[in-house]
Amino acid sequence: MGSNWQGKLELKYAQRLGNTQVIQNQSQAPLRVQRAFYPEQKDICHSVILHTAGGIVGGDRLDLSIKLEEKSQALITSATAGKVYGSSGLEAQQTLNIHLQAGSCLEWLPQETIIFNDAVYRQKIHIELEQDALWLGWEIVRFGRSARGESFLSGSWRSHTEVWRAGYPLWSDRLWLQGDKGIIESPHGLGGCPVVGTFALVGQQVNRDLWQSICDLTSHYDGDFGVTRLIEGLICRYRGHSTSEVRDWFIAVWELLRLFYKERPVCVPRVWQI
Amino acid sequence: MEAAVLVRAYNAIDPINFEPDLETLKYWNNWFSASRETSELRASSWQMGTSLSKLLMDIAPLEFEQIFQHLYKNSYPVGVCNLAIAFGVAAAVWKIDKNILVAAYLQTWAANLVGAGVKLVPLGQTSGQRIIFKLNDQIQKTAIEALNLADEQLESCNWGLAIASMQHEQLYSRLFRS
Repeated sequence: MGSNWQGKLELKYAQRLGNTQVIQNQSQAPLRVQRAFYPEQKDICHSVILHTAGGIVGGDRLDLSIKLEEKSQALITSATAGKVYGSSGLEAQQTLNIHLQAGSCLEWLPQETIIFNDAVYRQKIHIELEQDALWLGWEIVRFGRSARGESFLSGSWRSHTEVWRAGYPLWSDRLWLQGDKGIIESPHGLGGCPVVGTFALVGQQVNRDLWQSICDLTSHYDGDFGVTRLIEGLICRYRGHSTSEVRDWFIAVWELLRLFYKERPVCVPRVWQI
Repeated sequence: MEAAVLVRAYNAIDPINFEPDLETLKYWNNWFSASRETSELRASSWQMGTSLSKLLMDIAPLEFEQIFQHLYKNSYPVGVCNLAIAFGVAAAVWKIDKNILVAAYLQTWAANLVGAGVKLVPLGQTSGQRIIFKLNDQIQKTAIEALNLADEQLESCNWGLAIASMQHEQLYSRLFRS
């Protein structure tokens, strides 16, 4: 028990004269944030989160709190793929509280997470939006170290994401996968695929034409793809075998969304090494 | 998850004086809208729920008018009621036993799916009936689970359904929807 991490991270961004700056950055091991950088224009601040212990074990708790003040814009990613190791039963937890003030926009684009067999993991993301704030986030998960022939046959993975604005829920996504051969193979569950991905945009209406052009992107890939509109936004889901395939598709979707909402192309973080 | 929300709507009506807890009904109505996997599943829940609630207000305005007008006014977007909410409210107001209600709701869903199967795939009427009959135990089991879920346990693993429904939305002609 004593060797468990209780990591914390508090990040706050503000917009000053059109530039987005980090105005607060407090962290507790194993979480750390690299110095902010600006590979595109100065209005969008890029940050990279590091998990210095290499992975999460049962009993670990990570709490992240991110706030964007009015009209600030940030892109946050992670330095490496995340790992959640097998556990003897203790649950690992990660919670994220995100508050986006009026007119701000956060692009939350972490690299994929590998969930080892026997891992017990619970993630909760709560996002509070103010007027005209926009949330864009994805999550790519590989169940089991499939390259070694490992499947997610025992353990459990939970990922709950909720986006609220002024007391109304805009999107609630409660995913739960119990490590079990039946659900891994079932066409209703993973359908024999080790990789899933979800990409969401919440806070703005997505019109039919934009939805249609995103649907049209899927034709030349192998996995299962789906795109649907939310009450105010859009979600894309992937189920397949390849993290690079889902990432390619998500980047293509991100490009269309960026052109539509920010009128500029995407800027792929260098840490992704693609 | 839908049956568990049905239970929450049912429980929001006081069993003794039938006073509705409007805040709770509003919460679950909006939460359910936000948690639908796809826009077509959301639209079908809204369409059936809004039709049912209008019918209920028509049949028994004294019992239902206040409840559904409140839900319409406080829903996002304005003017919608989900099927599980309208169904749960009706059953509570009309004193239908909760255990029977949940099993019946699940049975209706199963019968609907099998009915669609009979029309779409090579599946005979009697084979369809046999499938529904065989689901009996599973429905009873699922009903008990749905009755006992905590809020935190409203979660699921249904990538298959979600992606199939998303792909269905892109079809030129869609079945069972005029």
